[in-house]
Amino acid sequence: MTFQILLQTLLNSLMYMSILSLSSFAIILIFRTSTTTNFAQGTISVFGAYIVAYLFTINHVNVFVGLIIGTVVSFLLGFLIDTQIFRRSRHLTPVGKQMITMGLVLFLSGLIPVIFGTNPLMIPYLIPVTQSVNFTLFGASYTLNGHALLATILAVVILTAAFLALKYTKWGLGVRATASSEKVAGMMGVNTRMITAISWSLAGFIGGLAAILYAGTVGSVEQNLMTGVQVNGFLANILGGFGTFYGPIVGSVLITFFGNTIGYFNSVWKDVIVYGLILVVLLVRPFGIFGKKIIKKV
Amino acid sequence: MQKENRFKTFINRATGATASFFKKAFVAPSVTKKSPVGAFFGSHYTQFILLGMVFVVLQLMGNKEMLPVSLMRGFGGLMINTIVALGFFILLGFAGLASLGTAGFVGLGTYMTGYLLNQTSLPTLVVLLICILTAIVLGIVVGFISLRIEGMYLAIITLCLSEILVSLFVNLESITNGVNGLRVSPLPFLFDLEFAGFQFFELTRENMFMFIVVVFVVLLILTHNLTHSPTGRAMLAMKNSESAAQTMGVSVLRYRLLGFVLATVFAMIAGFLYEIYWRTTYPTSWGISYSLNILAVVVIGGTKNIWGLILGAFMIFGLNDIVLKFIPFFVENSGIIVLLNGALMILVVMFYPGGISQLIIELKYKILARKIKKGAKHNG
Repeated sequence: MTFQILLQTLLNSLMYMSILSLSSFAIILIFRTSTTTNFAQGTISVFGAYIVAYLFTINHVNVFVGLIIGTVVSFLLGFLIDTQIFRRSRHLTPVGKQMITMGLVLFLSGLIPVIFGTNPLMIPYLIPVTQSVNFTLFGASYTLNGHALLATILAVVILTAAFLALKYTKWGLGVRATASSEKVAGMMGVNTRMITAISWSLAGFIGGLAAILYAGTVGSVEQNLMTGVQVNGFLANILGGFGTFYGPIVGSVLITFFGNTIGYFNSVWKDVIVYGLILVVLLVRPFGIFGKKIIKKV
Repeated sequence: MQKENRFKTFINRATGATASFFKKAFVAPSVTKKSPVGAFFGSHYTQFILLGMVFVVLQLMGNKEMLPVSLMRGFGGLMINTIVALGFFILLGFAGLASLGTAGFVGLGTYMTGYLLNQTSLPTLVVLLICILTAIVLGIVVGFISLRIEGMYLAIITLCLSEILVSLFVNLESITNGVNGLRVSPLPFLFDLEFAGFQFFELTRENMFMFIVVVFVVLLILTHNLTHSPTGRAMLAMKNSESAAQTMGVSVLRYRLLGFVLATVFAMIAGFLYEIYWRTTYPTSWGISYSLNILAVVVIGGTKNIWGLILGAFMIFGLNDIVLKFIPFFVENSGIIVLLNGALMILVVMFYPGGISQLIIELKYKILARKIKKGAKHNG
């Protein structure tokens, strides 16, 4: 009985888990290459979702075509932001860079109503709600809707590809080198400009995809769509630790799963309990579950 | 890019050299002999009190309907937000600790004030005192957390605390009235001894504005004095190098706690003022975006000069409510205001990393240079 509840909770969590993993991966990618927490992650993602919704509601473009266009635009947006702004502000302190991302939030949230209007736009499920997967295991039946399944598959495929790329390609080696020290990597002949540009573009792409998938479950796109996801993404990052690429993803899975399990028993105090637990974990391990203490030279 | 950097370092060196030169020049007797009038207006006490008096005069004009009501509301809100930013100015600019939990503490101040004023018959000033005491306790708790968790992790863990508080605001419906917001009614009196039948200074918006001005000026002077005292210097030392500061005998525990206590106290005082001035508070006002705006004020304003901070606050919170609201073009395209604000912010941070206060200091030296030139001509 309890096993059944746990498994169904897990299935219900899959959707949010994939979105959160994608978002927190985008955040960590930028944190490692540009040493700043990107507060604009949510807004950049929402921009992609707006494009899909706009194409769908106004121009009646097929959702999947829209998905491709939306993610490509997010990719380009990430590229533009890096080449136009962050490439020119490497000398800034981390807090200064954070401020730039703050400015980006304002800039984009001013730009969105100018382009797309002020009303929330509709966005459909990528796979109609009626199509769901039903299966039986140990005599109990479970359901998983098609949209969530698609989101999970996309997230798993993209994250696996990203990790393989980080581990085995030249770009991945460059990212890891840049992450450990941008200056030294640059001296060793790593094209750090290209590395950060591609990381920003990828983060834009991944974030855009997450927002589009999430917007499908919410039903419409509006400015604050990703705020909650973004806050949880930051929490997942500190829970897993900023030190590794896989930490934040483990963090996202844990936050969603525990959140929903607690929510099954008490949905009102779910957030308070989860945040409290994160606080306790951080007090025990100040650099996240997988983090290492950074030794500073005086 | 390298050229640009070189150019920048050159400029920095040049300005640094000129600055030290003029500082030396400034001590030369022919220039430093200040007239009593100059000394009067040069004192920061006078400057801050004058600023306060300008606000008071504006409100008096507003009372006579010479200024629109919404403009005065803009100034009131600006002062409240500047008070929050002042606390953060000490925390980030001097103690070097980043926090994203400011919004939660301001929110807590508003809710405590609202609840205590509505449900109990405590005098208003006692409510303020309770807010301050709670803030001190909270500040100490967060300060102890900050001893264990550092840097970016600390910023996000304070965000976590703030989210817990917001969640409490939403869910403790019997106390906070949930998402519908908590209203203060009836209007409180500043000096209120109900049992003795003594009630004085009803806190209408106009009277409250005056009270905010008083608190604002007092806190400005307090912050200025603190940052120019040994405490401020010890904090600055801790910000620049913790280990070096410790070797020189600066207690990290003490100053971290102090930094957080001051930031929380300022935030909750602002919450108290907010609740009585706006008379209502909603959980949605205290999300991450408010904390980020406060952070933006301090970064854009810079940490070298309080006037820079005030201008920074004006840019983030005031520009919209005080200036652009009255230009028809911007009223029709409200998105453009946000867009311009964002662009301005990016540009300031990219090209003026020291913030507006850096600009002010550079201007000061330019004026000084002109004075000295004149003085030299006069003497020669």
